[in-house]
Amino acid sequence: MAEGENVNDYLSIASYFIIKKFKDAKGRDPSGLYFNKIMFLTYKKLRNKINLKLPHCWYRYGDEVIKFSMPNNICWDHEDPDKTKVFWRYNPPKMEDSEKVKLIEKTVEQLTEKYADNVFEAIRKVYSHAPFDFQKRFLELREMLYGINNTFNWDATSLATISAPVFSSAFKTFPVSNFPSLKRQKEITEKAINIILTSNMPDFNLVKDFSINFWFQFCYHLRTHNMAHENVPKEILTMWRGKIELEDLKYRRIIADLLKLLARFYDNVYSFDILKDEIEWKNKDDKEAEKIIEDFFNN
Amino acid sequence: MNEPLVLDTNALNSKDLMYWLRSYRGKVILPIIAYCEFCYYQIVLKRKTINQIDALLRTSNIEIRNMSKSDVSCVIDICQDIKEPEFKKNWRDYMIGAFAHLPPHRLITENVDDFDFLGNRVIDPVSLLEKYDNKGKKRKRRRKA
Repeated sequence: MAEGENVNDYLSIASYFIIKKFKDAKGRDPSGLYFNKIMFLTYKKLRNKINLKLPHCWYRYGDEVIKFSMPNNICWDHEDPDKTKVFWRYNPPKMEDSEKVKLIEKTVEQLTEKYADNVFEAIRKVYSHAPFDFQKRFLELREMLYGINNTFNWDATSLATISAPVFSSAFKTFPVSNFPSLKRQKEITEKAINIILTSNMPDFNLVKDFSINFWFQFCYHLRTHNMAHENVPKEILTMWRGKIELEDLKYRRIIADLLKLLARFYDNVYSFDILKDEIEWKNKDDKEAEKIIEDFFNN
Repeated sequence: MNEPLVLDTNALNSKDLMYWLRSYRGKVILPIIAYCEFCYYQIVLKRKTINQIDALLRTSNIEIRNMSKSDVSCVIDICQDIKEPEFKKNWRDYMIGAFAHLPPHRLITENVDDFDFLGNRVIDPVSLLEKYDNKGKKRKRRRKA
């Protein structure tokens, strides 16, 4: 235990039990993905009796803890939640033999038993708490894009036929009123995917590119929304909000580049004003970039 | 999503890298210490303006990253066996390297040897562009086949 650490720091105790119980059951440290999900479920399950004050937000792969604000004893050895192992460093947290500690331990034990071998079920359970329906629909899309195709090795046309309505209904649930600044980008992505899926030669890699990049851009906005985070320090929220402008520009460039690629293979791209305007914007942006870079290095 | 890249100050001298980063699908991080050093060279020694610098970074999708408490913890982890004279001489490298401490971050620098504490996750700008160019070629070949 670090010097000065409080007795019965419930967030530390719950984190410690999640790591320990998994390690006891499986003989290895849990992944970041597992840790995030079980932490969230523990927090939700205990909420009426013990408030763990878990600092967390909704982001790319569901709900995740805010690493910077978690107890210092918890370590991650990789940036990506599905690749990192989470482990506890130094001594266990200091805890009394109280009812609350017993309740935390029992809750973690139950969740470990249920989900240690089935992180996917935990992900689904966590997503049932997602603040926006669009997140749940996007999870279905991800499962479809990365699951069905890999499992059954379907041809592109059949995959397009079954996935078109899933995309369409997912985009219908996009919470425009909560994220008005993403309205145009959503329309561009939706239109582009529709062109691919209704064509004779649907390119699923391009569909994945469009949907994932739009999702990543959306998540920079999502985590700052009041309904999508709790117990996050103001400084971190300020930092996240400060990053949005640059990320929006970056993802606008990425998606516009994808549109340029789309226009090379699909005839009807320029018949939609919104797509045509976006490609023109990117061409102008490329010219400006060339001027900025050349001026900087030549003068 | 590609690996996040962390730029050392001297990586910003590569015009090719600045062009290439515009289409890179991953985070590109400039540690605040490297930003400060770059500003000194460009503004004080080369009479550039802060607006020119910021326009360049924005054009290449480069994010300036402040140092957090966890980055400081990384510096301390890296420097466990470092003697004081060496720290005093190279503290800047340790601070920049700390931003790439966690895999899969990769540090881009002209001085690869100065960051041997990051193992094989350090690369110079030319080798980085070659690496990705080769990947692209492989992908294209596979598609054609």
